[in-house]
Amino acid sequence: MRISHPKLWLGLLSLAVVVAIVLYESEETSPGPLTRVHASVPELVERGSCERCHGDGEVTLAQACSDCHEAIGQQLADRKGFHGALDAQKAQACGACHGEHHGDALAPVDARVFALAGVADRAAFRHEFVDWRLVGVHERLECSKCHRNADVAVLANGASRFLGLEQRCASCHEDPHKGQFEERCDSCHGQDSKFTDLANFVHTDELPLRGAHASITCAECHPKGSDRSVEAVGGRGPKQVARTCQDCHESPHTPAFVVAAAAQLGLAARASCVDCHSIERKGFAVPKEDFRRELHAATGFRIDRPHEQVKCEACHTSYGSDVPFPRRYPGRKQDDCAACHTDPHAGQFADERGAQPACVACHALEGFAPHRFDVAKHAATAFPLEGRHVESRCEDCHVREGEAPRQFAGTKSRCESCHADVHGASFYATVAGGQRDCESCHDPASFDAEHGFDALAHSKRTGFELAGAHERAQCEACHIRGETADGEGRRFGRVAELFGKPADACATCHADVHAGDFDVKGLPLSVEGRQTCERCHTVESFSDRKHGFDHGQWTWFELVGAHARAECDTCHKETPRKPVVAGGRQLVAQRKLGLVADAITPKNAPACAVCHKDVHGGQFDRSGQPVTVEGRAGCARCHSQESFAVGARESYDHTRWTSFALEDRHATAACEACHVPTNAAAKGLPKLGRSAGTRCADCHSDPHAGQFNARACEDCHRSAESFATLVFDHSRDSRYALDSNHVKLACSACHKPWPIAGGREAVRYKPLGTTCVECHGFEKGKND
Amino acid sequence: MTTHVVTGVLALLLALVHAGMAPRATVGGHALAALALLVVTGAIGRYFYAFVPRAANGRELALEEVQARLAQLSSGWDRENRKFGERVRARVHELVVAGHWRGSFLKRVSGLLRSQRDLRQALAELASAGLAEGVPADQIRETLELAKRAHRATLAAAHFEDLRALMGTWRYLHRWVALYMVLIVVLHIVAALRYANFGALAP
Repeated sequence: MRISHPKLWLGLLSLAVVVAIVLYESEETSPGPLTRVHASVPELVERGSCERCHGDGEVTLAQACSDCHEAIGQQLADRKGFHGALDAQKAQACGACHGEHHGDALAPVDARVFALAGVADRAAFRHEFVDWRLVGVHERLECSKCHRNADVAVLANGASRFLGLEQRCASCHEDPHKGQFEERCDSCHGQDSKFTDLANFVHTDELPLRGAHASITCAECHPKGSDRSVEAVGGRGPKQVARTCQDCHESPHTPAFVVAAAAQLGLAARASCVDCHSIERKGFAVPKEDFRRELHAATGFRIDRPHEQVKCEACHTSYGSDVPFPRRYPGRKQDDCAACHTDPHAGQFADERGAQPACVACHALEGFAPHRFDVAKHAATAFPLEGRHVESRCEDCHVREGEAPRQFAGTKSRCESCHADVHGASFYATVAGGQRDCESCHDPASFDAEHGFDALAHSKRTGFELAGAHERAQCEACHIRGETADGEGRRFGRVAELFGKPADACATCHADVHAGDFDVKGLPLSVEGRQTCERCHTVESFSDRKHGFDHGQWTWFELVGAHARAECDTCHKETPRKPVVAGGRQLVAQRKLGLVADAITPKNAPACAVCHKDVHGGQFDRSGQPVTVEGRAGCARCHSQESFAVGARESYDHTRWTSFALEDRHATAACEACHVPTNAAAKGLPKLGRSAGTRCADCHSDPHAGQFNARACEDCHRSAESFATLVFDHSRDSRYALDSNHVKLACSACHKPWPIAGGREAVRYKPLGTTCVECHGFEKGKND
Repeated sequence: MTTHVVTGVLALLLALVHAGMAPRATVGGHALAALALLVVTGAIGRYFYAFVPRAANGRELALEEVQARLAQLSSGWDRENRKFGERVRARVHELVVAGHWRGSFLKRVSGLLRSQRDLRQALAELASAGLAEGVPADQIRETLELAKRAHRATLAAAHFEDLRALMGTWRYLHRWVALYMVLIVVLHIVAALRYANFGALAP
């Protein structure tokens, strides 16, 4: 290749560039940026300064570090301090704990570094490891409280993070006594308690700090800058002598109390404090159990009834608190009840000027209840108590409305202001002007009302005139008295409440004994202007039918004939009815005249059987018999209202009703011949009894004594004219035909009377013999 | 893939791990950057390398051998739709003829990239036209694959020397980067040996 070949020059140029870059890089061999504190040192950041920290072949890393960190180098050399206490080999490897070349990402001293040094938690570092044991308050302090630079990221040049502190109190703490004490700090103060606790201080024997004095701070008794300050009494100056309570404590008690209390105790007034306020006790307040009742009397307020059981806090509401003493114990008067107690009457008894009378004017000093406001004192009011008002309880008239105080002043004296109108405004509305005038009827003292409530008053106040039977009746008949009083104390019932109906109608008090029979459709609602019950009845008497009673009009059953002559109760029997109860009482439950039949209506025609019993036992209502006769039905087919018997027999068609025609002798025979009268007539039954039957033997006795029992009578006695007229063919109807001789004979020639059972006789017809000898007998020689 | 490529890529990955995935602007960090640059130039070089016609064993082909392969490809055109194939063939020829490469390195790079871009556009247009004419899709796909191979073979034949020169220049750059990387790695190792104690306590 020629020297002038471009590739040669190009190759050399390329090589030069590469080598130049590598040489430049060789001057920047740092593996990373330094920490800020090291980077702030110019000698450590200039090129080629690696050996300043890393040393060279003869100087180790630790030695190079110690060149700058001399104090630590001294610790390492003296084997003292934190680094001196480390493992010797580890102490020489600075970089093992204090990493570098990571910039600010790796702090030179932090928790990681402490952990690498064997201190897992810096806050729990055992300080005795560096020959300075922390106790008490020091043990709980943050490192930075003493080591100001403990947490500083970048130390100032020359500053130290942990080193350089002394072990004298004043090296860290300011002396509050400004050097006025000769003793060392720890002669009074300790590390185990707060600075103000004076753990090692013992108070003088003249005033040992016990009880309440043991817990107060020094400055409370020894204020700074005063002649009793700590420096004044314990410093280099002259000492103060012991004092009494009043030298420090201001007495809130009145002189009178102190003198009285001291007199009770037999002590001097200045020395009497300790009797109640023991120095052994914490706090100035006197416990309740230590406070004697006699001392309370020294305040001018005796503790006796009713305050003897009252707790202190009930009167001294600020008891035990920090409010000023005069407010806690204001020194109240014995009879100044209002100082503690709220006026339950809310000032009702204040006069025009607002002045309140003393509570004890009405209430005893020993207790609010019972009060002492008696009838005599009440007489001084606008409403003296009389009569039953004397027996009333106060709260009956003086009431409370909700949470409001009980009303005394302004209590109204009208009756209605206290008493409910038990009459439900019935009377009050009728009085002119709407004014209630209870006293017009009632005695204010006894509430007795009956003296002034007569019939006239009843008419006037209730609008219901008392007349006739009403005037004669007892009040309770309508106004039923209850056995117990109702909520209004009333036992005298109101009609409207008792019966649930207006008081102006008869039906309110009286049950309708007719059960509405006269209020059905079709009957008159008014008769000559009279309505309801008064259509027939009057207030004079229920049974007095002054206005008469048209039976036909009211019942659709006109009374004629025997009905018109009969007494009412013949048909309308006295009948028990279902009781009617209203207003707690039984109304008229029974009427004198009962209903004929509840079923009588215009649509149901009157029927004799309603009142009359069918004496024929239904014989004439059997099937096949006529229902009507000439338009008459039922009993009227034969009988009239005029009389049951008259006309009935004469017009009786025996053949139609019995199918047994009366002919010949039967037609003229008396009814009683077949229909034998019975004693039933005495019991109201018909006089004629029923016939025995339609056969002959039913009425007639058998003269043949049963000889023809198997045959009917009319086989022979067909004629009704005479029993003796026979239709009998002896040859045909008997087993013995009559020959010419016998036919001439009278019947009795052969049929003779013959004794029968019972000592009687009967003509014998059968059986008779048919041979001659059986009638004619045997004659010797003739018949042989 | 050769051992050359494998060691280059692995070296970059291992160096990243060595750097803790957080390289800094130090000698070590610069060494890592040089290695990354070396891998990048290697990857680009492999792209150029693919255009240089080679035999199955990697040997670069002579021009005559390239022309013979191109002639072999021409026989494939008759198997497809003749009319569409003729048009594709003409278009590929037009692309190769129209490209004028210059003699400098950058212009050769530009010419290569531009020819690839023009080929993609032309093939896309031909595919759309073939679909519009009703040429079956699989036949279009086969024809265009043949066109790609024909284009590359034609390009290799037409710019045979340009491609070899381009590859030679790129190899030159890659070698100097490699030298820089080696030197700076050595520097990094020497500094570490000199100052670091690798975590061990001092004697």
